[in-house]
Amino acid sequence: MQTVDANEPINPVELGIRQAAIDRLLMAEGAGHIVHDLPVRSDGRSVGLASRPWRLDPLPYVLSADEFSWIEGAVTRRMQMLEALLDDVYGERRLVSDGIIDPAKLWASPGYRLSAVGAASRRHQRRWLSSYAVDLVRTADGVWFAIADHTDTPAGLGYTLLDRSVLTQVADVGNDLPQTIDSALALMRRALVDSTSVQGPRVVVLTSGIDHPAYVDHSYLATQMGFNIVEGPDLVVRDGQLWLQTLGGLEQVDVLHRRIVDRQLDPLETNTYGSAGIPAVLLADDAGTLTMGNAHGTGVIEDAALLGMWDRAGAALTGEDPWLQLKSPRLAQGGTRLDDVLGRPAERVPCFVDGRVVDQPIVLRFHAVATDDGIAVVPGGNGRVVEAHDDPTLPTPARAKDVWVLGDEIASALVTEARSAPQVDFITSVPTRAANSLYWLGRASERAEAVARSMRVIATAPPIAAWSGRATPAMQLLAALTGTEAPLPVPTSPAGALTEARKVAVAAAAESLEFHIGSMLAESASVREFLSTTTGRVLGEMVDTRVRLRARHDDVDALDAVLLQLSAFAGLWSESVVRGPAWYFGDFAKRYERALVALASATVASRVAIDAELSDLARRRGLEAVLAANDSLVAYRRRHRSDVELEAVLALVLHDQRNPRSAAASIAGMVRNASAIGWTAGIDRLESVASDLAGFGTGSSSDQLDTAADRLHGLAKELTATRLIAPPHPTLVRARLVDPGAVA
Amino acid sequence: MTRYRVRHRTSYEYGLPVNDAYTVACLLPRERTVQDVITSKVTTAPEPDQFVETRDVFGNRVVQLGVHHVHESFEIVAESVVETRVQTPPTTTRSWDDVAGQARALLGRRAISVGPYRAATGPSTPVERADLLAALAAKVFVPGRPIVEAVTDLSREIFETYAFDPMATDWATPLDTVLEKQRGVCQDFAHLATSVMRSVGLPASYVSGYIETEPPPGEVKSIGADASHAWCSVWTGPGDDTGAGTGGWLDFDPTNHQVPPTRHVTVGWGRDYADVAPVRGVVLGPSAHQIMDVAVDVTRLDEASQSQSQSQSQS
Repeated sequence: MQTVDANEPINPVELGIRQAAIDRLLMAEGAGHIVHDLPVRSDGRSVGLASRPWRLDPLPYVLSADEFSWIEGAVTRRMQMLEALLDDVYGERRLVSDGIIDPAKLWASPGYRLSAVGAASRRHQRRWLSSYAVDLVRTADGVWFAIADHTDTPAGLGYTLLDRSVLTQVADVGNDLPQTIDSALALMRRALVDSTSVQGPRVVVLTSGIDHPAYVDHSYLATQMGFNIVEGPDLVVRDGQLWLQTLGGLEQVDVLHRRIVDRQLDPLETNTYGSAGIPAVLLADDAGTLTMGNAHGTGVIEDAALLGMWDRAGAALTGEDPWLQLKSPRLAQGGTRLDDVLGRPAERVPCFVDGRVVDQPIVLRFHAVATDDGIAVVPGGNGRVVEAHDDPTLPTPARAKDVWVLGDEIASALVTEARSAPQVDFITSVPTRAANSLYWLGRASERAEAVARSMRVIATAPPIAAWSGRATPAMQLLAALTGTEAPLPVPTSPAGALTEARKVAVAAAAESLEFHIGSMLAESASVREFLSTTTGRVLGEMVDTRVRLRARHDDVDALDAVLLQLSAFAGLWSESVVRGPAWYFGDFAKRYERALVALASATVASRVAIDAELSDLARRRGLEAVLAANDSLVAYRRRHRSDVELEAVLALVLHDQRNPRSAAASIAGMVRNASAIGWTAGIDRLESVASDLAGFGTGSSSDQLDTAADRLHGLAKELTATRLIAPPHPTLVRARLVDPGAVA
Repeated sequence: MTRYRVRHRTSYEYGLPVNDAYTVACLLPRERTVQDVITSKVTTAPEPDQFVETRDVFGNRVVQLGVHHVHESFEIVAESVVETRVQTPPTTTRSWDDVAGQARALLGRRAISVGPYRAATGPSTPVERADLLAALAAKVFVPGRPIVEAVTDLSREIFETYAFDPMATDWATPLDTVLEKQRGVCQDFAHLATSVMRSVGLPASYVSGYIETEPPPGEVKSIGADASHAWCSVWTGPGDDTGAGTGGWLDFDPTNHQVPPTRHVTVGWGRDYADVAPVRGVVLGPSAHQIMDVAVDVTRLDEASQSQSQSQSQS
């Protein structure tokens, strides 16, 4: 089977099978759960749908080694030209003094960062561009044009690697192996390490967060390169240096691989505040204690108002015409259709769309990096199929295309020796925000499980006449877990009323379940480097299940699927995550949440047991439901071959250290984690809650359980308040609200 | 020659304690042909954990401050003593359109130093009411009119048709609103004047500083009654004599219709307010609430010249 030769007939059925495999694999790589609908995070910031899953075309775009060789030369020269332009407009400004660039145009551009003027020498900057991406289009008659330069935060290398890893698993390449792009990671690492003179620099990848449209790209690249992915609030400027706030204290950052545009980096520079920026970061940048890749100011190249002059200015500066001419849709007089932009037809290539192979125009993005030994262009890239309604410059890759270079490996001028950056020890170095996310991830996963289990009990329980006038124990437990009122069935038509009440209870719980799963997805997306790879697959499947449950709340099969996925998640959590502060934090939260579930179960069980209106059968069934919701029914049956009795239920749910679902075991787990984290202040008090609970029996007031829960709340709050830094609430300071306006 | 002491105090009360604060202050006066800086300093309460003084791209003195511990209020005081002289107006007889042509054709170092001030920036550019700006420009900048005359007329036009009204605008009021309401404060009028001049191709800058205000006759000047002030400056051609008199930069104050200004202390200049905002910054903490208070005192130290004629000044 040959996919890459246009002369061979392409079998749409086979392509359909491949497409399905690609979709699954992209999901498995973790792209699915990150880009999907993420409603809310622990800090209350809602997360929009900026990012969407994309489809990868099963047909790669193929270039011959000769064709790529030309592209390599052209992209290298273009990067050199842009570097020279940046160096001039922020340095000597020969282009201005020679009358080639109008200073009024330059200085009117919001992309021309005034604080970067003259900065290259102040900060002993090695280069403006550490990385560069360019979008190319080929005309039907074979001429290449650039349609966009990406110099500010060149994106897409992560996508390229991700797409390639997926496509090579699916495509049957025969003897036509594409050139490997594995070196891209080493090159990118090297470019960042080479951007500073610091030996063995600490590099971090700065993103604005999971709501960034290219978060998957950021996260994949950071994880693959072995650098922390961080957000603005993780970083702080002190003594003119940039520091990462970790559980262990401040750690100095040498290189910031910024994925945030330069005009949003420092709220002090712009006097605006987004969640992304770091106050005073330009102070560290200007002092040269920090290197940014790419340097602050590089965004000026992308300013629409200036696009038209770079090729001419670059030619004047370097003395040679660029190989690639820029034809930006933003400069186009006619439409933004590729054919109009180019002034002649763009090349069409076969793409698999809706089960058919159709010819579509395509935009190809190539990536280049600059190191001390020169510029290297990655032999591959990401293509985007341009649909009729697409703006070719806007990255809305509904359909991506992997770019293959066939033929012999190109003897690149750049020998890519691996340059060492200290491998960051993710085990000991945990940004406080990551710890915060892991904490909420632990809580949400545990709470989701309890809610799902209770829902399942309600959805499958046989109706009992005894409950016709009131909420069943499982409903009461669910109400306690979801913080809602247990619905009271209308007593007129017993059986119908119960069914109705069941529906209401499950619907209310479904909303809560959806929320908790959403939190899990959102929190885990920002801490990928702390979770195992397979976790991405599990989370990806939870996305689907969540959608199913939204469509039908009492879909028992979907509830089972959720429970299965949560078990898989829990298994990976305990078996595949390295023990360190990150894990202890998450696990503390898990145990805390589980203790709360046990306390709520005990409360409902006590209430059911003393309910005089119930028959013995109903009481037993009720206690069973509570045990089932707590996943302790099997444990109970193994131990007690008799009917369910309250005393034995309490022993199992509250006191039994051997039952991992019990309050006692959960609090013991909290103590273990507290001690591992070094939170000695909490240990005695946790143990005191445990010993108070130990005295709880059949005759005790359930107020005691509430008190225990309250004390646990207080302790958990104290831990998070002292160890985790809450996201700051920035306020801008002005010199003047209304002018004092003195008139003498 | 006049010697002034300037004291500019800005204080903030936060409703709740803040953990971390970053401030950028453009409060220290810079030297210029018509101004010597004798002493100058910035002090704050609480004392900063970080204090860095730099020069921005315009050559202004900028102080970056960090207070990285819990505090509930912040006060920043700039005190300086400067000696000022009234500017000698350019002698150029060139028309404004001639000068605009010269400005566009500048090469070499002058292209770099003067060119940026032709750039239209956000705060000084009307979006909706460009027609009003164009009408004002057309009225004043009649083709062939000598530049100094045209600029003086622009100052007068703004002074006469625009009402000084501190309640009409705030720090972020767009120029559109100022054009429509025909009212505002010094900041607005300086933006307006620079915008008009740039629209006809003349390099123009926004100047930040202070003006000495004097009490009405018979009253004692009250402390803190002065204000920070803004005016503008226009490039009238090369400073060396090119056969039609000397050009150079000419300051004028449209708020008080003074060409050139007489009782002004310069802090710095840029393209617009945002380039030289006296104080800006970010506070990190639980509260978004802040109460701000500003007091400025401009005191004439030269006793001998106290009895100069008095005129009304607005800022």
